[in-house]
Amino acid sequence: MTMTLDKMDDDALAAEYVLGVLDAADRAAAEERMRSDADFALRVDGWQARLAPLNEAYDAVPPPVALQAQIEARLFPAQPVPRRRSGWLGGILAGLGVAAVVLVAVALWLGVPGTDTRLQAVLTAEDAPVAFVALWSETEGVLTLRQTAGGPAGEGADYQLWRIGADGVPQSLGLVQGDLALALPALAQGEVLAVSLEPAGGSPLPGPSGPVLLAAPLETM
Amino acid sequence: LRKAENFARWGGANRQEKPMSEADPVAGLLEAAAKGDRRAFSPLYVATSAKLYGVLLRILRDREEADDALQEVYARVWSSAGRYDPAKGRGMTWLITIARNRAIDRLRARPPLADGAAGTEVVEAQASESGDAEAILMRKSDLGRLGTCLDVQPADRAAALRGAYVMGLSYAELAARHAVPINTMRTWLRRGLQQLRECMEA
Repeated sequence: MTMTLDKMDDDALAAEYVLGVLDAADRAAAEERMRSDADFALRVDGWQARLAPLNEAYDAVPPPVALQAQIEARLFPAQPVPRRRSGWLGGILAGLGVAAVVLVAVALWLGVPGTDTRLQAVLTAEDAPVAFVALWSETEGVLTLRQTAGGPAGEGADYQLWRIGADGVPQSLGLVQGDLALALPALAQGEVLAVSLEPAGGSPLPGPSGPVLLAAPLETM
Repeated sequence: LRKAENFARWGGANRQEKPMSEADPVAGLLEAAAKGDRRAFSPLYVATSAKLYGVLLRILRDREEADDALQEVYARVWSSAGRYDPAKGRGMTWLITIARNRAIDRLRARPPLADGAAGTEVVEAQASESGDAEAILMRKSDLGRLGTCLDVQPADRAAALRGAYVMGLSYAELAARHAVPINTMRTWLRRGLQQLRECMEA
């Protein structure tokens, strides 16, 4: 491909921008060019595609568990926490009488969509000695944890379960020994459950003191 | 690339419906994000955050700054997902571009004194990491045509090109490491980039 000298300069600048070697002022100028000059923007795209195989050099490193909740809180500030609706539900039921109660009970029994929010978190990791599946039902207000791999934490150690909400602060849900059912009236999609390895009796700190072995967000089922 | 094949296989079953996004689940999540569908965020984050955090850590070499930058990256991703164009590349590649740019912008915005104060330690850390970068790239020989075209360049220039891209080294840092004036470094790298392009288009 032949290019005029000007175009060669443009192409070199696009390459330098993608390579990342420019200083702050030149980077800003190149970004301005991308907005105003379609030909230059295409050259940048071309270099991005050409150099993209180098992205293989970046190893995946899991970020701190609490970060996801922080980011979601920042992006979705007004995210409402699901509340138990026993208040108005109770009122309606009282008003409608026994027949309605039977109908709703049947609906709940059949699992009609919309009658319950159910969340699930699959806590597994390749290098973790244990794995759990957590299920939460809004109607029941109960979080159940089922151990799907591994055994007890060993002598002098315990697994501890954490919940990390929108504020990013881990809150202990207690020690995990085999399967577990916890009363937990409110829980939101996107909150993170985590399991850490702690000294027997649990973390001496307000948050995890040992390694966090597992973490996963709660997803709608 | 192995990952890309897995994605392709994963999408194979439902290919008839939406060929583009099924073959690239990250692209599908970005499409949903562009429509403001919050449900897309969590799976997008789970699927991509470790790679993006790896990018930020590698370039910024500071965990606290990488934490802040990751927040900025996902805020940016969420607000500009509509600008992602699947015709230009895979969703993951687009995300990595955003992360690299954010990290490099932060790096360039650091006061020069901060780097100078750390002095030789920083330079040495960079030098040894650049060795790591090469080792990793040697092992992962999935660079295809780019790898071939880097190999025909003088070894020190290929290393400078890789180091610049992977770690976000500036002309000033590269010039200091190779003990040449900045303009010399610029001419030398520009020649390398031009050769790279000619080789890849040949």
